[in-house]
Amino acid sequence: MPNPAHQPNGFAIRVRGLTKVFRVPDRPPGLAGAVRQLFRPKSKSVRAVDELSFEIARGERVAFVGPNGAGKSTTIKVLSGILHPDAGEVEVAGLLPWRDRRELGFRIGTVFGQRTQLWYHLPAGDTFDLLAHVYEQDPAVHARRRAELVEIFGIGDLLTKPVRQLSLGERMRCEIVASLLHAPDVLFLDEPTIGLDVTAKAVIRDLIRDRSQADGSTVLLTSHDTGDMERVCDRVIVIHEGRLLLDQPVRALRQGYIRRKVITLLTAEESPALELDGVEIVAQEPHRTVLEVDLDRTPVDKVVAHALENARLRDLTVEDPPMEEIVQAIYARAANGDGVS
Amino acid sequence: MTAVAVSPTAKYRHVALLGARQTFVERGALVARSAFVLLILLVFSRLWETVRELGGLGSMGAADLLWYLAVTEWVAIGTLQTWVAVQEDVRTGDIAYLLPRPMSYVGYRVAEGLGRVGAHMLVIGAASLLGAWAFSGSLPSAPAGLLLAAPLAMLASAVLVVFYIWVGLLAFWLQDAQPAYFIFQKLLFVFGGLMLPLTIYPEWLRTISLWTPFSALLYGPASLVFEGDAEAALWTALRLVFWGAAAALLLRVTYARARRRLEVNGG
Repeated sequence: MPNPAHQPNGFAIRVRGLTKVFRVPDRPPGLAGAVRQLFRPKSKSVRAVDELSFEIARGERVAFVGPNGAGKSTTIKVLSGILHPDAGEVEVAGLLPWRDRRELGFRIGTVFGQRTQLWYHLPAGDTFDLLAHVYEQDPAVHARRRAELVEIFGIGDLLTKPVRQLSLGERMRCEIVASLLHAPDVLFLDEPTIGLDVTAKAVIRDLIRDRSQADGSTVLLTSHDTGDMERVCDRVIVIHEGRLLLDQPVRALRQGYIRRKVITLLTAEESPALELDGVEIVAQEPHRTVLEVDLDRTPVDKVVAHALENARLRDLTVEDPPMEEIVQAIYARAANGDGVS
Repeated sequence: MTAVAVSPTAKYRHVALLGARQTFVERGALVARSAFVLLILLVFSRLWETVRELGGLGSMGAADLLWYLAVTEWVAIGTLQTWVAVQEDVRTGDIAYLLPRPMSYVGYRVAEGLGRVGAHMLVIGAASLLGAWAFSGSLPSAPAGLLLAAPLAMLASAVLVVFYIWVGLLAFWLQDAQPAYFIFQKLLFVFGGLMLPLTIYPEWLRTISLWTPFSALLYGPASLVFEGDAEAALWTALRLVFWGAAAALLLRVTYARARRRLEVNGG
């Protein structure tokens, strides 16, 4: 496959030296400080994004991660045309976001896990109808696209229920369909699986990945859930304090930084005896044992086999370490002068 | 994506229709507000009757005063607090969801407000007018004025929606727009003549009130129930159109400043 960087207009997103500075109140502590602030308000500059550069090819699925306050939301707001950068160049779907905001609106979709674009008291189908008008879709095209997405996302039975009666997982499937109806070239996803149970998370991740592959759409996903990044994306960009910290394939990140898994076992025995090299019991209560596995010493399948031999399992979950821990490891390695990107 | 040529107002019209649908879905709230209007009219019908017996109403009839109140309450209660949705968009960050869409954010909220309030006004209007008729036992002294008052009450409510969206935008600066709404509402009640017509206000207060938009919003349509001539209705309509245009301009300027504030202070 040819490198998109060598194709004309092969990039969905190009960011060069993006910088965004905000003024925030500088409130001194205490009552006297509050009174002073009332009469002579002070503010300070905060560099939310600092000379950030990256490129995303069309059809790529990229995780955009970092700790809270790293500048992820600000970057996405600049990319979606909500904010104007103080310096740098940004191009999304061949458009200048803040200048071509209306035109860009037709080309991008957004899903924010903690927000909703669905009308709360009305069925999701009503919002879908509205979005056909908002995105000025041809009725026949809209009907075809809607029927296809409704079937793939399995939401046919949900379309006539008021949104307030849907479970979080059901609502999220409807939210994603709402964002895909106008077939956007670029999809911004912010914590799309937040609050969902394990099964619903898996369903949502598969749907997002498969849909992006089918449509050839570009995905930029921000999440604190390592699983979102691993199951949906091919590449990860890590930012910290507004600066690029790491940009590499998810596979490389997994090999380089995700060296640990957390396995939770629910067993018939109160305290099963599980002793294996590279496995540490980090929490234990009657019938529930939490293990931390060092993948450099023992693979997960070996731990599961060992658990099956030594205990009667009722349930088992395997989790990745939290994103914060991974970013911390990347940051620590960068601080030590090791190359990370 | 296949875009088709549509009228620029089509999407806003659809938002308004969905807003109207949402109002009819909230049946409990509609019933509660209608009952509240009826309770107010019942209380004031008894109150005005007592004041009349004491000779305190001057040339005004108790029935006319009740019909006047029915129209002012129709506008005041019928116009939902559309500023709340805007404030929530600003405070929760939901505005970031709406801004990238290919439509105006303010246009979206105004259209939604007009749809929701339009449907709400129809129900509250029916309750108010039926209540006034039932509790006063008669029509107002200028029954034809009632026919003129009804469309103007709807127009007044539409103008009030624009003002309320403006109040909601103040959350960009205040975080909580409730105090701004509180002040606006009190000014509306006092200068608009919610309980009593401006004709019985002291001269100086009446003069001040007539220069404000509030008197156009409440007193303007309501006074037609006893000053039911076409000339008064036309004058009220012109005042409402003027204040509607002023509110739209205020909204536009405030929104432009709010967007700049978003740029400076972050989302």
